[in-house]
Amino acid sequence: MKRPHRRIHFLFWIVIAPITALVGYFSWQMRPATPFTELPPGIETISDASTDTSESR
Amino acid sequence: MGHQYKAIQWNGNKIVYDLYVLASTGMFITIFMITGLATQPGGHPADPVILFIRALGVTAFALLTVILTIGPLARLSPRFLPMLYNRRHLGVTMFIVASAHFGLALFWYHAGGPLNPLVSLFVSNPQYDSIPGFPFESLGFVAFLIIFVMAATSHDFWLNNLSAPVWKALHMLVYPAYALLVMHIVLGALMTEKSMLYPIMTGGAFLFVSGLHLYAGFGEWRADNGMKSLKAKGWIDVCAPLDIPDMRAVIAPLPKGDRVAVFRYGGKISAVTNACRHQNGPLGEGRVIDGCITCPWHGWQYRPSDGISPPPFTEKIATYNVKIESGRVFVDPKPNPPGTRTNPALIDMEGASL
Repeated sequence: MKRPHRRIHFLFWIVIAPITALVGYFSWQMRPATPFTELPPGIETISDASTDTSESR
Repeated sequence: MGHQYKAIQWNGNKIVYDLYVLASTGMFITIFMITGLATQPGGHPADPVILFIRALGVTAFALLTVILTIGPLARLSPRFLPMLYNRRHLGVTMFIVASAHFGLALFWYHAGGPLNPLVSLFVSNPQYDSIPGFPFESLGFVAFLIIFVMAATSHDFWLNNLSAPVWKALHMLVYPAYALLVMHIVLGALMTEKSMLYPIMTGGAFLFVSGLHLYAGFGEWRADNGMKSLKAKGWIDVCAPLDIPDMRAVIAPLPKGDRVAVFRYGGKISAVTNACRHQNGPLGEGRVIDGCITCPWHGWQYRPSDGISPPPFTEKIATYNVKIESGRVFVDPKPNPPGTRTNPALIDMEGASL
């Protein structure tokens, strides 16, 4: 009897690992030079008020 | 074994292991919190709640990384088999920590507005077309859903009802979940981190897990290729009788990609399929304990001569006919129906057939 999924398991890592590594690396390269958590307080306040997205960072 | 459903098959080792896991997890979170509060990352005092949310997230990711290394490590060395035996409890611990991370983050960031927090999680940041501003929380949520389904079906009740292949296929979703979590971290925490510590640790963990799986998988692939070259006709020459360690097995390739586990126990040799009925664990990497072949993964047992689990259990696996000729062990590549009794080959002290 064969052990199921053995080849699928291997193929999965061959496909998913390089894709995730490349996408992750290039996404990280596109990070802002100055993280908005470190923006001056005034700008951070404006950003919070207008988009309401920065708190979740 | 699947004769009846039990809540958890506790034993002394599992309790000690669980205590170690809980203590290590608690210690990891504590050290993370103390270090974060002491170092004040970003040059300003860290918010304890946000730091705790991050501590829970880092802990869950670290636990999942450890979990994903156990499988290939156990393939490469039997020293890691005890970790495999207890992997499910580690998975449940990871789910609990991930649930705390998810629940606290959802409450902290999304419960204060007029929207349902779950709706808010997906719509409060609509920058789905931006990489730096991507709503990374959505990736974490999908990963959490996968982990939730896995935790909910982790019990043997579901393994028996779904069947091992379906259950295994379902639980292989942990790999895309891990990839989603990596992107959740990259597009979330790493977008605001100036320190190189986080990127190096995240990337290193992912590359380590990927490398281990590929290395172990490559070994399996080479073994599969070796099987293809075998001819289907005739008995398979496995090895000399004494090449098999006592109370252990040699795993031999068969035509069509099958594998057989040839066990030596005392002066006898028997052969069974290499796949356990429970989760298709590699029986040939197990031992003969109390007269039964014992799966290295979760301890399911079968009698070597007929492949039947000892009473009160009723599981059966396929057996193979085996013989010794000219000081060599031969296996008939055609499997017998599960539970078929076979005559063990007998060996003398010199390793020749009696």
